[in-house]
Amino acid sequence: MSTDWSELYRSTYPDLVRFIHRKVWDEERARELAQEAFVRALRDEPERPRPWLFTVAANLARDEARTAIRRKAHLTLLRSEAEVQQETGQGSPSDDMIRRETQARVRHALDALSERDREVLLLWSGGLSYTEIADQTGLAIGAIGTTLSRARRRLVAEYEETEEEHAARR
Amino acid sequence: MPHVGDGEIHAYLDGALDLFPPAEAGRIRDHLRSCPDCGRRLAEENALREGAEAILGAAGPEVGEAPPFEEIRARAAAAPPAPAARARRVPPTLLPWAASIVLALAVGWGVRGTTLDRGAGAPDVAARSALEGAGGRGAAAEPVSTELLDAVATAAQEAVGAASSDLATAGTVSGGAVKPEDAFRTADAPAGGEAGQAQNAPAPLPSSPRSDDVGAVAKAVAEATEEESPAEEVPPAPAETDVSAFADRREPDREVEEPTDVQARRAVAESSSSLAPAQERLDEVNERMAQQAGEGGEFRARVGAFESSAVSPAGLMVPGLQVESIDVDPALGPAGGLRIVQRLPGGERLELLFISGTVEAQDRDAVASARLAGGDGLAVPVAPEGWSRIDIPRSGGWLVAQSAVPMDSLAALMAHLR
Repeated sequence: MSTDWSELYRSTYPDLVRFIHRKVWDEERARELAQEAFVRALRDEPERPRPWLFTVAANLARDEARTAIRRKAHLTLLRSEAEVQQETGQGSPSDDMIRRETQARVRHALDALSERDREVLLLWSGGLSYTEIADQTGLAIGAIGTTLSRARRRLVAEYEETEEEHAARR
Repeated sequence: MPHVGDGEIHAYLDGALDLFPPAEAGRIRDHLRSCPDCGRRLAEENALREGAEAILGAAGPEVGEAPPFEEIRARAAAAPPAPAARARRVPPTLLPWAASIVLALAVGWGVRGTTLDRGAGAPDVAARSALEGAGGRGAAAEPVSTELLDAVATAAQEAVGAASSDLATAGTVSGGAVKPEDAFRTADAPAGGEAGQAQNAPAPLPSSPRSDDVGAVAKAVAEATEEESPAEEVPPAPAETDVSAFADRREPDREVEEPTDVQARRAVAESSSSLAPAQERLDEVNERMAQQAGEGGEFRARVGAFESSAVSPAGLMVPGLQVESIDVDPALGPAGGLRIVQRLPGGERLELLFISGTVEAQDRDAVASARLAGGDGLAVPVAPEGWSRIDIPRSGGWLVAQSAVPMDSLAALMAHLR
């Protein structure tokens, strides 16, 4: 069956960006890596492109995370205005702050999950079906629901905990 | 009839029950309709599921407009072949090497065979004879039969031929690219196992036990950690729960609702934008600053610098946030400084301390460390525990921003300084 790549790109690109962003936490890099995954998919023309894209995206994000760890060692306490401005968008200060803060809390909550639970949750959230997630992770289809149940419960609990800590600091 | 598990409820909510055996799926549906306890759990799990999606959705990002598909296609066309394809192709120059290795192994094995064939009672007679007879070098005293050598050579040639054929086949097959599906199938292989695995093809996910075991273990864990149903009376549920309303409709671009706390904070933020300092407020601040500075001798000159350079009170504040106080503090730096307090949307204090004086670039790290420690005569208070802090070089001094928010949030705010 031939793939309508243009349609697949249109329908999957946003999900892929979100999926990668929840791993690298850098919006611009998430877009770049999503595009790179599509470039590779067009070059290799996999038979099942959608799950393939997410697997390649996960690998690209993992490589990106390793690079980020190396880069972090070079950060200093002092940051120039230009650096700060490069990292932020054009939104209002309040919007930027809320978005950053929310992202930090979501990231913290996701980090509390086991690697497998987090992967299954993000794949589901990226739009993959139980069958596709099972293919990709090696889990039995019957175990996907259990894994998602546990991951969702933990995510919500951790997120609410950070909210309580945040409220206590005010 | 046993209650349904959390995993089964989530599979139902996710619209994945059809993947279960029909009898099992039917049992789960029937039970959810008829059991009040499980009907209540269904509602709870649905709320949990939607909460999790909302939390993930709130993290963004703004995806923005995708680049045109033609641009992606052009990049793919211009990209070099996949590294995997190059890796799997065997250069022709390697074939003689491979052949010689196979030949050497084959001959070695053949010679070993002739020695062993002599039996245990005649240990290496051939070897000794080879040394003692006919000059001891170059000729075998008890030569291996010509037939045997021919047989070994033929076998070696066949082996080389087969190997070459395999290698050539591999090169042909991978001339395009390794099919990702193949890479998926090898996902359970240990890292670094299969030579030539596609660099860009899916790498193995974290090692896992057999999927059946995972399923059993996951289920056992889920059941073990499942909370007991409360002993108190639960509200009566209808005899038949309409569970169909919960089932998921997979849509690629679902709208997610923000978590309530984000909604609340956004509402506060939107309302606080009306508290932005008006021009009159800034004028009042300038006047107060001038009055206070007038009492401080040397600091008077600095006031002019503030007003004429990029460092003005307005330039030290985050636009759009409520200004709680602005004070001149002679203790902040050799020529004094400013202490500004603004309120963030969540109600936290944002302290902005402008400290006069300049620091050479090479000394900045040392100064920052000193500030963080609150020492070296710098009158900058140490930020309370849990606060984030950013030092920003400004014309004529430094701006220290500190607040009880994550560092990323603070950095985002500081990007809005003029």
